[in-house]
Order: sequence, then C-alpha cells, then structure tokens
Amino acid sequence: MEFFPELMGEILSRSLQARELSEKLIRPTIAKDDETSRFPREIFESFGKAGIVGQLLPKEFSGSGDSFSSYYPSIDEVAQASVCFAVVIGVTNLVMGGILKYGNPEQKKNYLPKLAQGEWLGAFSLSEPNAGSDASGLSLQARKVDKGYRLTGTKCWCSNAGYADLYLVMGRTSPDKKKGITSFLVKKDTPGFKVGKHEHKLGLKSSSLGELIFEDCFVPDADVLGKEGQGFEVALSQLESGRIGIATCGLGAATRSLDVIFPIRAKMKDPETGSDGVLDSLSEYYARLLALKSLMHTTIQLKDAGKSKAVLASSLKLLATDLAMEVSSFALGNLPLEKQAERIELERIFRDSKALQIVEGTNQIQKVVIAREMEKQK
Amino acid sequence: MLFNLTEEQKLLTKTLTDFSKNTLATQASEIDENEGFNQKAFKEMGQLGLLGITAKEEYGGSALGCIEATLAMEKMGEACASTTLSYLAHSILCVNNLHENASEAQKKKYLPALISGEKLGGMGMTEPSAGSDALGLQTKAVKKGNKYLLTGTKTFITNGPFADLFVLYARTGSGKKDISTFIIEKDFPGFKVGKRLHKLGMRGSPTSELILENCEVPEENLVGKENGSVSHMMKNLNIERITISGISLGIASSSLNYASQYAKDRNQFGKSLSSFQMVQERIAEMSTQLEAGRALTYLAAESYDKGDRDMTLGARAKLFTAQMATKAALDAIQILGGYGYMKEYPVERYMRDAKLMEIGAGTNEVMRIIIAKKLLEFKD
Ligand SMILES: Cc1cc2nc3c(=O)[nH]c(=O)nc-3n(C[C@H](O)[C@H](O)[C@H](O)COP(=O)(O)OP(=O)(O)OC[C@H]3O[C@@H](n4cnc5c(N)ncnc54)[C@H](O)[C@@H]3O)c2cc1C
Ligand SMILES: Cc1cc2nc3c(=O)[nH]c(=O)nc-3n(C[C@H](O)[C@H](O)[C@H](O)COP(=O)(O)OP(=O)(O)OC[C@H]3O[C@@H](n4cnc5c(N)ncnc54)[C@H](O)[C@@H]3O)c2cc1C
Repeated sequence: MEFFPELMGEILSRSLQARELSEKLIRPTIAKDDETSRFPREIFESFGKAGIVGQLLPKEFSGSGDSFSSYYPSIDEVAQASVCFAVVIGVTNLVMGGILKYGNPEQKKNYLPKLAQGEWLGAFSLSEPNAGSDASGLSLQARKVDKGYRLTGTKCWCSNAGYADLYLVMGRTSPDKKKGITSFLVKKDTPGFKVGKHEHKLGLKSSSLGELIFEDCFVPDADVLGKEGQGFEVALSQLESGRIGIATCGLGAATRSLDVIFPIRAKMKDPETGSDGVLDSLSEYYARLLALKSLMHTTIQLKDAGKSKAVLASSLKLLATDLAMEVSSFALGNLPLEKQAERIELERIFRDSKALQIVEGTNQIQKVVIAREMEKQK
Repeated sequence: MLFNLTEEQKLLTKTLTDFSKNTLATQASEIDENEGFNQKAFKEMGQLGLLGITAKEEYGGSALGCIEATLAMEKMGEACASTTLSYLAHSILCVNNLHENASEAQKKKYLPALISGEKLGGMGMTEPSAGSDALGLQTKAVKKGNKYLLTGTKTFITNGPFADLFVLYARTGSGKKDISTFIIEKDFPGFKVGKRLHKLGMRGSPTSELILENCEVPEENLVGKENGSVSHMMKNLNIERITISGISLGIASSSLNYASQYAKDRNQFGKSLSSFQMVQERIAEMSTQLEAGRALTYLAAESYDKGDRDMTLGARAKLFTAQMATKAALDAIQILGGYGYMKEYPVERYMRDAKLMEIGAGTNEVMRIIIAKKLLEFKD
C-alpha cells in the first residue's frame, strides 16, 4: 500500500526505490536472518550506496539532501520487509542527525560521509541498567583529563553493538542531573572500550543489542560532540526524529500484517452474505492505519517546515506502535495454520512490534509527554 | 485464588505448587530455548497420580473431577505452560478420552501404563486441511479382514515425537459424520512420526505431524462403534476447553506476579515503578481480569462435574481466559520495559506461550461461533 502517492510528487521515487531494494535484498533472507540472529551487514552497505541510509544529509556529506517527507515513507517501505532493518537505519540516522546538528566541521567531514554511504554503521547509547525511562539518571563516569576524557562504566541495550563502527555515547561529567551529561563519539577499536554480553531477545533478532563496557577508556577532546554538559540536549535533539522513525516502523508492520492477512481472509468470507467478523475487524484496522498515515503526513510536513511539535511525534509513536501490536496479533490468530510462510512472517512482525512499544520512550512515557504538552496549551 | 476449595483441593494445590516449583520451573526456560521436553516431569506426575487425574482408581487413576484437572493446569501452567500443554494432551485428550469412551478391555490394556507414566499419550484430530473444520478430516480407515488400514496425515499433534500411543480420528464412511476413533501404537506397521514443527511458543511441548500409510490397526483397537465418534469427540472437546483455560490462568497469574514484584523493586525518576499510576492501573486491571477469568473457568468446571454438558460455558471460559492471558503477558513485558523484552526474564516466554491459547482447542473465532449458535439458535 502506498503512502499517499498523489501528495508525494517527485519524492515518491525514493519510496519506490526503497521498496524495490527491500523486496530484492531483504526479503529473500529475512526469515533465516531472524532465525539465526544474523545482521546482514552487506545489505546495509547496499542501502548506503543506494542513498537510502544517508538521504537526509546534505550532498556535501555524501547524502542525498532529501526531506523528511521523503525519508519516512521510504523507511516505512523498508519496515514492511523488515522492521528490524528499518530500526537499524533509524539508529544510524540518530547518530548522523546528532553530528549534523552539533558536530564541528572536522567531525562532520570525517564521520558523516562514511555513515551516509553505509561504509560505517552507527550506534546510539543512552540507556543504562538503572537509567531507562529516566535516561538522565545515567552514571557512566567521564572524567576530564589532559586533552580528553576517561570513560568508566557500563551501558546496556545498545542496538548495533558489536557491528557499529561509531558509537554516540552519553556520559556523566558532573553531578547536575541534566546539565552534567556530555556526548562522546567513540570509535569501535578505541582502547579501553569493548562490547560486553549480547542480549537474546524476543524480537528484532536480525540486529544486535549489547552491553558497552568502558574501562578507563580515553576519548580525545576532538571526539566530544557539542560542548561539555550539552550531552542530554544532543540526545533530546534526536528524540523527535527517533519517535517518528519508530512510529514509521509501526505503520510498516501494520501495513504488512494487513497485506498478508487480508487476501487470505477475503477468500474465506461467506459468498452469499459477504459477511465475516474477521473482515470487519480488518476494515477497522485499515481505517485506523489510514488515519495514522495522514497524521504522519501532517507531522512530517510540519517537521520539514521547521515547525515540529513534540505532541505529534509522541501521539504518532503511541498510536502507531499500539496498532502494529494489535494488528499483528490479530492477523496471527486468524491465519489458517497451513500457511507456513505467512505464519513465520506474522510471528516475526508480532515479536518485533512489541519492541516498538518500548524503545524511544515507552508508550507510557509518550502519554506523560502528551499530558505535559496539553497542559502547556492551556 | 478466590474460589472456595475443599480441604482435599487445598492439599492438591499444595502438592502441585511444590511439584511446579521443583520440577517444572527449573526446566521451563531451557526447554523453551532448546525445544526440549521435560520427560522427568512426566515420571513424577505418574507418581503423584496426576496423569490419570479423572480416571477411576481401578486403572490407577485419582478419580477426581474437572475442577481438580483445571487446578492442575493452572498451578503447573504458572511454572511451565509447555509441559502443562503436553500434560493436557496426555491426561485429557488421551487418558480421559479413553476412560470415557473405550471398552473395558481397552481400558485395562492401555490405561495403567499411561497413568503410571510408563507410556506417553497424544491425540490426533487436526489435519493440514481440517483444523477448525474438524469434521472435514480426510484420514481414511478401511476395514480389511480383522484389521483397519489407515491412510492420511495428521498435523499439530502435541507429544507427536515422543508419544507411545495416540487416540486418533479417521473417516470410515462417506457421510460427513462417519468418523471413528482408533488407538494407534507407535510401532504399528505403516505408522510414522512426521516432521517436528518449530513454534513461536509452547516450544517445550513437542508438536509434529503423524503419517499413516496403510497403517495396520487391529479391529479391537476401534473405540466405540464405527461411525459413532462425533459425539465423544465433542464431549472431549468440552472438558479440553475448560481445563486448557487453567493454563491461561496460570500464565496470566505468573505474568501478574512477576510484573507486580518487578514494579515494587525497580526505581526510575527516584521513585518505585509501583508509584506511577499508569503502572498501578495495569496491575489492577490485570488482576481483575484474572479473577474474572478464574471465576468463569471454575464455574464451568463445577458445572461439568455436576453433569452439565452444555458446551457454551466452556467456550466462554476458553475465549475469555485465552485473550486475557495474552494481554496479561504483553502488559507484563511492558511493565518490565527493556528487561521484559530480553530472554533472561521469563515474561516474553509467557507471551509467546499465551498466544497458543487463542488457537489450540479451537480458536477464539470458533468459541464465538459456538456461543452465538446457542444464543441465536442457528445451525451451519
Ligand atoms: C530492542 C531494544 C533496543 C534498544 N535500543 C537502544 C539503543 O540503541 N540505545 C539506547 O540507549 N537504548 C536502547 N534501548 C533501551 C530503551 O530505550 C529502554 O528500554 C526504554 O527507554 C525503557 O527503559 P527501561 O527498559 O529501563 O524501562 P523502565 O524505565 O524501567 O520502565 C519500566 C516500566 O515503567 C514505566 N514507567 C517508567 N517511568 C514512568 C513514568 N514516569 N510514568 C509512568 N510509567 C513509567 C515504563 O513505561 C515501563 O512500562 C533498547 C531497548 C530495546 C528493548
Ligand atoms: C501448539 C499446538 C498444539 C496442538 N495440539 C493438537 C493436538 O494435540 N491434537 C490435535 O488434533 N490438534 C492439535 N492442534 C491443532 C489445533 O486444534 C488447531 O490448530 C485449531 O483447531 C485451529 O485449526 P487450524 O490451525 O487448522 O486453523 P483454521 O481452521 O485454518 O483457522 C484459521 C483461522 O480461521 C478462523 N476460522 C476458521 N473457521 C471459521 C469460521 N467458520 N468462521 C470464522 N472464522 C473461522 C479460525 O478462527 C482461525 O482464526 C494444536 C495446535 C497447535 C498450534
């Protein structure tokens, strides 16, 4: 199902390209990659070379200079083939987004083109065992020394851990809860830095998730992103894009679930009355999906116009990921059991969708944000 | 547990709780991960008298009712839903079925070994193209001399890879209801276990296809009369649905307990998760749904024990508890946040296991049809 092709004009070609590439490269191996928990690095490189990973970056950094209105629908297409792969592209975009906004010219020149082209993979590490929703409660110690900082501590649940070449890591440089956080760009082979245990998880299995361990790891001043104490601001700057990204994955998951189940169920309806309880439910899910696609459209148009609203990103994230969970669960329950290939796919979407309700702020946290925004409006 | 239990039922609950803790909980995560099977548990269940829970004492059974069987499912389901599903296939789908429908000679021959835990049983109804439409099954049984020759494929058969014998349904005539029941031993010529199936959840309960190619079954292994099985098929489905609701209750109960404890232990923003109203709301909702499910399920079990054979109460219990269990497990993951998504914690397994409850023993939709048919007085 297309986003709103009539409204997309030229940028539609990016979505079509993303769809074609996803069908050709991701789809053939995704079931196997999910089963064996393999991250298909070579496919990521192809998406980089094709200009999909770095499409938001300006051309001078080997990006494509596209708008958000072009980016998100193309990620939706990727998510229809693999929610997991769309999340990986999204994470790399958080890192690029942070560098583009807060990086100095050197950092931009050194890191952005490699990330944009898929040569490098990015990771974004904020969470710690005791700082999840309460992200600014983080405690990774970053001590100022001559010409740089020494990092000591453990981060958890870092997507792309072990595969990433560049990690954007938030550490604590002073006790002030929010203003005492600083962002660092850590390259994979930096002495004193290693990836700890890899997590086994319910879904998103074709990407990695792991611990990062810092043992007196030296990071030079040149690799501080933004200023000392600006780290939480850097993290927050990517929050909105991240939330819309996860919402996009939710829409992709819901779209695909409907695309799989609808034709099967349509054939099962009573030919005389045309009535079928399952089709009724599918119609309702489709109506909700359309409403959300149109909310998505509004949200990204405002974002392109520089008039983002936090309440829109949070509402989208909440509703789109809840929809993904409901539709995938429903589709799975209503699939004739002999449809093996479809079953494997719907099971994967079902497991992946659950992650979407947790990452980039749990859906409860989105409600907290929405309530806060409503209060401001009064 | 709000339901009023007798002293004996309380004692049984205690036995079940200990058994679940010592023998089931310890293996649950491993057999889920490796698609294993807790064979040791079956031996112990034999000693505890659980395998023939509804069967008469003369066959080694415990002569208890549907309430006790449901209690067993709930308590064991709290620790390991997979093993409990296998237990259900053995004790209800196979043992109870034979106990209700088989001849005296058949019961004497087969029940004692099944009840002691020496032998494992299963039941084969579903076929690749006959699931919800169970009466559409196509496995054929043709009488030849003093034998029947069975040909066809069964699928999604719980305990398939390990069972020693199966209660199996096959077609013996051309009418839609011309279905008969047979007892198949795994060594009968022409019988083999087909491919093992890999599943989203209930991974510690082995499921497979059964393949019958002119499988030779002695005529004395026909259960009941030829073409006479539809009624006992339905009867057994009724007790299956009530007791399987116990597994849903067990999963939901563990989800609730785990999430509540976690919410009390974890702090964010300098406060316990349990202080957030959104968390409180979920917990309150989960427990209300769970107790409602319990009330309905044990009401259905009690009616069954009193001789009421109306299918709709069991269908309502099954429908309600299956949906409730999936929701409870999903909510538990949400309350644990990132931890809930990780395999190190049990709640993601609860969720994968719970999903089966909406499909096995008749899907949600089929339960709704059964209920609606009765209320709206229509036939298909
Ligand atoms: C697959 C996956 C990938 C991830 N990738 C990354 C990554 O790349 N980088 C990274 O930094 N992190 C990552 N994370 C971590 C993720 O961001 C956190 O899991 C998330 O922020 C929630 O934190 P938590 O798990 O500690 O849950 P908690 O914060 O402990 O929350 C537990 C429960 O309490 C609720 N709760 C908490 N606070 C409130 C409140 N104030 N009001 C109401 N309810 C509340 C939550 O909604 C949740 O239901 C990933 C997580 C997963 C599962
Ligand atoms: C783990 C597991 C263990 C099992 N163990 C056993 C076992 O030991 N022995 C055994 O015999 N079977 C077993 N089964 C089979 C189980 O009983 C069937 O899967 C179930 O009856 C559904 O049949 P089906 O899978 O063929 O789905 P289908 O009948 O193909 O149904 C697919 C979807 O269509 C819907 N549907 C079907 N008919 C209608 C209708 N008329 N109106 C509206 N919606 C409808 C269903 O609700 C479902 O959502 C097991 C299944 C599983 C998954």
